[in-house]
Amino acid sequence: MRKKILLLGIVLGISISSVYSATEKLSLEEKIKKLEENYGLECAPEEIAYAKTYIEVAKGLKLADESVKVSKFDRYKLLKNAELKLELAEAKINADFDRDGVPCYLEVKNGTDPFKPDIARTDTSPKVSQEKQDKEISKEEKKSQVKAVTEEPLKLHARVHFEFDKANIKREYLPYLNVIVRYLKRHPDIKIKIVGYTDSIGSKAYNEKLALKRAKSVKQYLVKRGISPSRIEIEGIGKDKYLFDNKTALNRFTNRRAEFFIMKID
Amino acid sequence: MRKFIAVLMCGLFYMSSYATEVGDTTVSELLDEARTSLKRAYEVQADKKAKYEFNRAKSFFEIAQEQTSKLNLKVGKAAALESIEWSIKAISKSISGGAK
Repeated sequence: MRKKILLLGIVLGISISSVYSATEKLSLEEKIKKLEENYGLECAPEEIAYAKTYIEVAKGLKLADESVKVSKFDRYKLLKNAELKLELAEAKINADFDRDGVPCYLEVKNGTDPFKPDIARTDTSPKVSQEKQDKEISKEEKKSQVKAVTEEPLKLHARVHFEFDKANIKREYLPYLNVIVRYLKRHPDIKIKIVGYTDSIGSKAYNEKLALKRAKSVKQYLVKRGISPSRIEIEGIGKDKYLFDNKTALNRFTNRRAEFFIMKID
Repeated sequence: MRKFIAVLMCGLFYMSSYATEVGDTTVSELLDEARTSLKRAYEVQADKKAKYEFNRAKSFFEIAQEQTSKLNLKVGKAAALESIEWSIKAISKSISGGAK
């Protein structure tokens, strides 16, 4: 009876440990896949490379059609190291290397450089070339004036929220605006429209003025960063097109906003 | 005589650990080749232009060194071979322009 129990214990132990190791391997590989989907190769190439190597070696390498393996202790060590590297990779993906307020994965997603700050780049851009660009744009504008204009929302994180009865841009939104500046500099053929909105508090006329003021302050910031004013249109909508009802303070804050739209010429 | 045999055995053991033939090439030769390939990759700035490939090569080389020192020569050789392959990938990527 004792022997049977002992045997059963050993069998159970082996099966549990093998299942555990299989799931551990699987979860690490899945983690790598997820990190790669989240721009891991761009933000943390070193960590991903090391983790992949550790996992491959732990699984066993091939040498002339023969599978060669490391010792159990080394295998355990390699998997632990892979885990650590993946944690580091995850941190790097969410890190802000250039300190412009935008995490690495978002910068890669938006097509900007995660290792160079937005402000430095705008400051170093030569003014002459910008003027030339503006002239070229104005020529193109004249040519295409007859064509129809359609609008579509800018596919970046393009929304700025404001405090109650204020039109000044909060500091935390500046990095997002810098990303938009870079996007506009990369696409000199694009014109944008900034639309200001308010919450439901106050008269209609006052809110329309405030909405326009909000759109104007965003435009001023973009112009200050080197975008031609001729490429930016503004509009104040005021007490209309709410995102949420105005019952709570948070909902009203969400409604007090300025949004960006790309003006596409057909 | 005993001392001579002991020294001879140690020498043979040392040689066999660092120059065991697996196939046609020895581990030490492969490690040397992997180190040279990594150096070449570094010289063409693969550490900046092909970060992922370069680090794959580097990590395999480190494992090859470690496993060889533990006398796990087969894994050492396989890892060295992988390192050489990744170094070549890193070199070709950085020569063709690298990551953009």
